[in-house]
Amino acid sequence: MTNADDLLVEIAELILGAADQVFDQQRSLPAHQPTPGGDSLGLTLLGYEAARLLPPEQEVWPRVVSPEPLDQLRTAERLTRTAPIAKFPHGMVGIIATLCDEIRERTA
Amino acid sequence: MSTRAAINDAGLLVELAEINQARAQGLLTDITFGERAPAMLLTWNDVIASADDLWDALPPATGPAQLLMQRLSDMATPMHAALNTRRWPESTQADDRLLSIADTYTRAADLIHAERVRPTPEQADGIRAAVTATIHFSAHSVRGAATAYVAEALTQVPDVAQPHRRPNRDLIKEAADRMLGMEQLSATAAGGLYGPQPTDAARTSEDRALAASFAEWDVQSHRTLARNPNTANLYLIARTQAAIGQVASTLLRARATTAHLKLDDYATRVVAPSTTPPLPGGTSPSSGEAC
Repeated sequence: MTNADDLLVEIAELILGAADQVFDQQRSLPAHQPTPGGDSLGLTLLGYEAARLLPPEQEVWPRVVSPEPLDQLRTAERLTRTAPIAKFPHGMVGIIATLCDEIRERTA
Repeated sequence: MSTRAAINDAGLLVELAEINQARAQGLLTDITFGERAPAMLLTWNDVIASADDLWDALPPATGPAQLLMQRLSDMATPMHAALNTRRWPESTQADDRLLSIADTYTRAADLIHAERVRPTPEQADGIRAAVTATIHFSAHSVRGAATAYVAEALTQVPDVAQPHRRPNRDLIKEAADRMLGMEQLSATAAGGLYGPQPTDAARTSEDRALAASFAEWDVQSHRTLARNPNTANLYLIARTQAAIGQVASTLLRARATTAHLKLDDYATRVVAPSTTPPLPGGTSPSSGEAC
């Protein structure tokens, strides 16, 4: 495991934590009513896509460090900037772009 | 500056490339980008031209990476020409954020041309990775901006007094399609977005493949529960079931709103049962029933 891999674990866990938070918000609403700020499905898929870049034996668990899903995502995005892109596994560029899309859509 | 100092300063190039990457990443979260689409499209060619210049100035890359910028340049140049020769408002300004990315690349290339820095092959690889990521983020932003612009234009009343005040919607739509090609090319170079694309054969049999995957997952989850009914497996299975429920619910809602499904059936058979409160302390049964 490299330092960038450790960062990726943290990033994936924060995204999955945010997905759980949005999922819980959705559960409190009627099924036909969209959740303000978007669905949890995209975040869940993104979290697992990020985890898929890691070695198979690496465990990834949802982590919550902030009560707001958007803050969780912003923290994850900040972490992507703390290591050179070449140090991350291949495919990280797509994860970052999608993460930023999620942040933008939830900010709008 | 001595030669030794010059070689050591090559780390500056890596830093400049990473600064540009952070700038491009910042573009992705800009929520006002629809209105900036014309300026971004107008400036895009500058970004590609300057990145191409830097790419060529670096020690040669091995394999197809060497051709990446040339191919992007071959795509960006005709788009730029098409934007400039057709109806386009003269008042459109360049996008200052993309311009600063282009300026930084030009400055980095100038440092190499003047032999003030001499990057090692390893540094060159790091710079190329950052440039590729920057191009992908920027292309994604420009395409997103163009798409948002087109969507916004559909809801706006045309300005009869000044019909050419805003760029033509079809022109922007065409540019967005061209940007998609460049975005995909840079994504491929950066290691792909989500793995290899499905083949045509897999695409035509996707219904069967989906059904088979669900069946396989169902059997595997039962086997797992029989063998290792621990908290981690229970959690993962419950979350996966919930995700499947969400997908089904989203698809059903989409079908109902596009009149592919009777609204009455949707309201009484799908929405109503799932509004029952979840079981205390457990996953909502409705998420499983929905699929």
